[in-house]
Amino acid sequence: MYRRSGRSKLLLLVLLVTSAALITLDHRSGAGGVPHRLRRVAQVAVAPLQSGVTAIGQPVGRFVSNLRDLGRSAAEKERLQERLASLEAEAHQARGLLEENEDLRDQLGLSRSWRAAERVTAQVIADAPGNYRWSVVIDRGEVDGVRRDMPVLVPDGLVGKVLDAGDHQATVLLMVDPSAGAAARLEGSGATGAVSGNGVDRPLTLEFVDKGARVVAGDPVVTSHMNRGIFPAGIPIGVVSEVEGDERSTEYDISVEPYVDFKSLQFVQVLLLPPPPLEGIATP
Amino acid sequence: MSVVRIADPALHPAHPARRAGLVVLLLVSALVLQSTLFTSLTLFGVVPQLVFVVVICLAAIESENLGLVSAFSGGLLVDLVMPGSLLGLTSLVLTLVAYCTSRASQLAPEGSVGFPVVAVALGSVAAEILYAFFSVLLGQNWVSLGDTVRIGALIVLYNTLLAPLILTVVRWSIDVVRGDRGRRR
Repeated sequence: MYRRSGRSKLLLLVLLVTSAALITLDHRSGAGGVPHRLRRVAQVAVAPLQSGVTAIGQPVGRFVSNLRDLGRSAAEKERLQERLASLEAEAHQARGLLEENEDLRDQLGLSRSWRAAERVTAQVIADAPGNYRWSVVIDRGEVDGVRRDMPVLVPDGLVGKVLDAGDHQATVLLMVDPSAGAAARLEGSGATGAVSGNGVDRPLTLEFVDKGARVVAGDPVVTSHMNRGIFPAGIPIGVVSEVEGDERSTEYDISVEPYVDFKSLQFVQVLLLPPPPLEGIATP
Repeated sequence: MSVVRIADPALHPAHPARRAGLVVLLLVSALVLQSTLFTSLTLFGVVPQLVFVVVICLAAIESENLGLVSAFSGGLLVDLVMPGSLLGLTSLVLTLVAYCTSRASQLAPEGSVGFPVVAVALGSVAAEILYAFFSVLLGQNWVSLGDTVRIGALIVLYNTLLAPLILTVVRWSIDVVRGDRGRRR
């Protein structure tokens, strides 16, 4: 009995030391390190299973969602039909303006907008298995042109960025994750700042906006190229929902309600735009 | 005179390879379901931690060593698949929780259903607190304290509600691997 207990304690010690060693290794290694390679192998192994279960389980998930939304579905349908009619008219007008805009950009020698960028549509096959990390796995990878740091969006706005890409799947870090961030611009005043996530049920935080700028609730927020941000300028993020900041502070504390419903992502688009090179690092 | 055989785990230990295979199968199944099907079956937006529940059930009803190895492997699996998580952090937390569960199980009556369920509830509380504490300590970006408490409480509730079902599946799988289920028929 004592020997058995002693062996368990030794095993416990070995496992705790191994865990601590792995934490240290992961903390110190970069994107190409051993932990990164191990993660990629695990993702490649698990993704087909996740994809299979998602395909089988989707009807169950939809059924549960439909049950939850049963009470408000009639009113929602009416609202969506009205919105569809209005959006169809706007889309028709926007297509014409977009073509005109791209022609003018070409004539002036300006870089093309993200709207004209090549993109791939991907299905969400799994979510992060934890409740404090917000990311999804999509069924497109390097063979489809997807690379690390590429912007991911839905028609409503910015979803996040590609965190890692395998051959046939990629992991997307959602904007609501506390470690996600983007350079942002207030469309009303043109003031710039940085948005970061606070979890799926919370608004985003917009920081570093100078107190001199005029900010009001309802201002649209889009991505910015400020400080060589990885996202192309002008992708919709959300609207200002709350503005705080006492008279002594030099910056606003702004809450931004994202346009995207992060709880019901099924299909996303990856913009096949390489991220801008880092300043001071020579590129071949 | 006929000899009566009792289905005692100590008398019918399963082959180590089959036991290892069972643990891997249970952990991978839990992880895949947790990241796919259960993302639609949330409780106020929270996904149950099926891997945690499987690990604590194994630690509560199986040997101490199997509980420890399952906890470490399950935690490592979660860390490998969860972006942003430090590799080794969940395995560290689950190994500690599994050790405490194994030690406490020695005081519980044999075959108790109540003990594993209580162990899942208390183990989930400990795992959530330890995971949040170590994450913040190691400089990981984290949600607010209020959100941590809300999410943690819902995880504990959801894990505990699912514990009897998962315990049944785990016990049934162990019986099948040991061959007890076939003998009982």
